[in-house]
Parts: sequence; structure tokens; C-alpha cells
Amino acid sequence: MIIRPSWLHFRESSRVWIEDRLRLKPLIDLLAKKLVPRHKYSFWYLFGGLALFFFIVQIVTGILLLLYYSPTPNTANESVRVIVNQVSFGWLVRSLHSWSANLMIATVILHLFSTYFMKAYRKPRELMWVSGVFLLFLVLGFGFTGYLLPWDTTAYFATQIGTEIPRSIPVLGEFIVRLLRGGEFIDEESLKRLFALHVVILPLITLAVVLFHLILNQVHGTSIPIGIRSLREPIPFFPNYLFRDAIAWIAALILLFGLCLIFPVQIGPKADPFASAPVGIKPEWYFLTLYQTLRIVPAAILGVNSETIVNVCVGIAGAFLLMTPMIDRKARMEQYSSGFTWIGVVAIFYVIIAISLAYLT
Amino acid sequence: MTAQDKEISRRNFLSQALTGWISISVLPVLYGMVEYALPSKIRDRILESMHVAKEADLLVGSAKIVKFNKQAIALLKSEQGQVRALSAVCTHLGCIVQYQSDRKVFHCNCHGSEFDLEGRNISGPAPRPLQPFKVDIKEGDIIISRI
Repeated sequence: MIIRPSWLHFRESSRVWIEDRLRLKPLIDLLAKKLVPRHKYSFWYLFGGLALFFFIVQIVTGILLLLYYSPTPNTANESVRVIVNQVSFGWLVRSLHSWSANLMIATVILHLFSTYFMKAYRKPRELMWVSGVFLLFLVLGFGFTGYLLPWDTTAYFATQIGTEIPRSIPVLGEFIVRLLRGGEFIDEESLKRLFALHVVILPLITLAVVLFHLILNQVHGTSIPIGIRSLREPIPFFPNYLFRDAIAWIAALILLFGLCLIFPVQIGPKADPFASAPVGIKPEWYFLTLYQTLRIVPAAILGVNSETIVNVCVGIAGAFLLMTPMIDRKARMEQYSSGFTWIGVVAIFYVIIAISLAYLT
Repeated sequence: MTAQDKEISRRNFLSQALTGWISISVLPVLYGMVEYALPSKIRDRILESMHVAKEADLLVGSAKIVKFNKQAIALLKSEQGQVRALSAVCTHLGCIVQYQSDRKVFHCNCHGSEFDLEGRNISGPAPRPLQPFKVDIKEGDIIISRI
């Protein structure tokens, strides 16, 4: 007779108990059914999982910040100071939230560009691409709406600019500005609205889109770039690829803690709506391309003002991103579309040059 | 396909009528939600004129930013003693401009627009001059009003 250690018996009986109630086997089988291809570019697949990891960090640290944050102009800046200076580990929670937001946006952008260059948007993954582009817009929305919440000077003027840009959109401009600000000026109503967007509306929409994106990923599997013949055997997503994801997540966690410890996030002075914008004011890195574009476009071209021109350019860029799978005909026929690759390369160069100019000038 | 097949069945009619009714019902709900979210204009009701500062508080050749309703206004006292009021809100994207007394210009630190002492946009992306306001001085009190 074999005598099993009691902990082994407990583990097995727990597994059976859970399985009887949750019926997880079909889900695990479904995850194991998905195969992840292995080739020289498969490293880039990790960034989707990393973006998800940073989003989870955002949710956890965001809930912790909510325990002390107070969304009114009189108390917001002070409540963030209390979190940073008086609450146990408050400085760390705030730094984790801020740094993971930056890393989330960076990994989403990397994931988007790697998907773009590998033409992973081609049939039948068009809707995966479209939902991914929406996720990019949503994480930028998180960045924008969260920026005002500490109610410091830089945040105030960044929000002033960001909410003013849509004004030049024909017909809807004034409507969008009033809807975002809750009035004509940035004040308590604006703070409450951006707070509601940041902690309720955007997270709910993002969760739904992330779920949709992941379900499609499960249904269609991972794309292999055009022309790549995978030499090695693909590996099952569960548990093999998930193990690799876990290693990447641990590395990301170490990087995140390292950044928080070496560069803890600071808070600026409380916003004064009647003071001049400070010298050298700049938005976060992910809005620097837009910032620099607004600086270099002349006041008017052929009678059209600069904001309208920039709005049209941003609209065209956004529409191009969303429609890429539909307009890249060559990729649809499994042919390499070098024109789209070049558009991507030019876009990356423009972003790098604009960010460099914004920092240097 | 026979003519009879083309005729709409009772089931189809009810299904389409229900879909149409639900779609139409959604419109007033959406309208109500948008109306609710749009701020009331009453909140932004503004005064036409306002006492904003004492003339004695202004230094010659410097600017002082004061509050007029919810708007920032730059008061400027010339060397001849004339007081001028200009909106301090950059006409590009709404940052508050800074008066640089050595260069005698209003400079916007956000995107680099500049305005002269008359409020005219002289460089950068600002599309319009700074909005001027009427200045009245009564017994040393500066009262500004919309033009």
C-alpha cells in the first residue's frame, strides 16, 4: 500500500474540489490548443503580455491610490502629498502607478509597431488589429485623464492645451471641449469629469476591449510574419509559452521597482490657474510628437489655422492606423507590402525627430 | 422566388417592428444622457464689468495678472501712466502668457507664441491677437469691462 503525504492528498483533493465546481478543464484545454510559433522575431510576441501585465499593475495601484486621493482643486494636490509623504509605502504606490503607466504605453506602442511590421493584421486578424489600435487610444486616454489628477502646475496647463485642441474640429469642437471640461474653463468640474473618466469609464471600456482582443487572439492564434518559415516546432500557449510570459513579467516587475526606487515620482506645486505657464513646460513623452507638431506648424496655412491642420493630420493618422488591414491589399494576399513598411519607418523617424527637437529646443 | 415568398411574414414584420422600436427608443435615451453630461450655461454666467485692482498696485513698465470672471487678464501700465488690459490667455491653446519686460513682449511658454504691447500676435503659432478689454479708473480703482 502506497502512503501519500498529507499535503499531496490535500493538493489533489483541492484540485478536484475546484474542478468539480468551476469546470476549468475545457478552458485549460482551449489554452493548450493554441500554439505559439517560434522564429527569429518571436521575441516581439512578449510585448502584448507585458502591456497586459502593466495594465494589471495600473488597476491594483490605482485602487490603492483611490483610498486617499480626493478629487477637488482644493484637496487634490494636498491628498497626493499626503499619499507620498505620510501614508506607509504611499510614495512607492504612486511611483508604481506612474512608472507602470509609462511602461504600459511604451509596451503598447512597441506591440503595435511590431504587429505592424510583421503584418500580423492581415486576414483573418483585422479585428484584432482594430481592437489593438483602440487600446492604444485608450491607454493614451488614461495618460491624459490621469495627468490632471495631482492638480499641479504642469498638469493644469497640459490639460488646458489638451482640452483646447479639439475646439477647432468643425461642428463638434465646442461640444467636445465643454463635455470634457464641464464648462468653458478648467476647474473643479473638469477635475471631476477627468477623474470619472480615469477611474470608471475608461477602465470599463478597456477591460471589455482587452477581453475582446484576447478572445480573438485565442480564436485565431498567433500570426507568423509573411515569408517566415518556422524551423522549430511551435509550443503550446499553456503552460509553455505562459511560462516565458511569466519570466518576462518578473523581469518587468524588477525593472518597474528599480525605476521607482531610483527615480521616485515627484509632485509639482499646486496649480494656479492665474499664473503664467512655467518656463520649459512640456507634456509627457508620449504627447511630445503632438506638442512639437503644434509648435512647428505656422499660425495659418492658406487661411486654415494651425490647430485645424494638426487635428486633420491626427485624424488622418488615426484613420490610417485603424484601416491598415483593409487598405494593405498585398498583405491580404500574403505578399510583402514594402510601401507600408516604409510608411512605418518614416513614422518612427518623425516621432524620434519630433521628440528630440521637443527636448532640445 | 414566388411573389408569395417576397411578402413579409407576420413573424418578420413583428421582428422588424420590434427592432425599429428599440432603435428609436435608444435615441431619446442617448439624447438625455448627452444633455445631462453637457454643463449648464448658467454656471458660466459672467459679469460684464468688474473691479480688479487698485491703480497704485501697478508698477510702471510691468504687468500684473488679475482675475476677471474666470479669465486671466494682464494689466499693463505704460511709462506715460496709461493702463491697458489684455486677455492673458494665449490665442493658440489657452496657456497664460508671461510678460517679459526687457523685451516688452508677452511670451507663451507652452508653444512659443509672442504678442506685442498692443496684443498683436508677432511670432509663433498663435492665430489671433490677445483680446483687449476696456479700462476705467474711478478713484484709483481699476474697473475692466468687455468691449
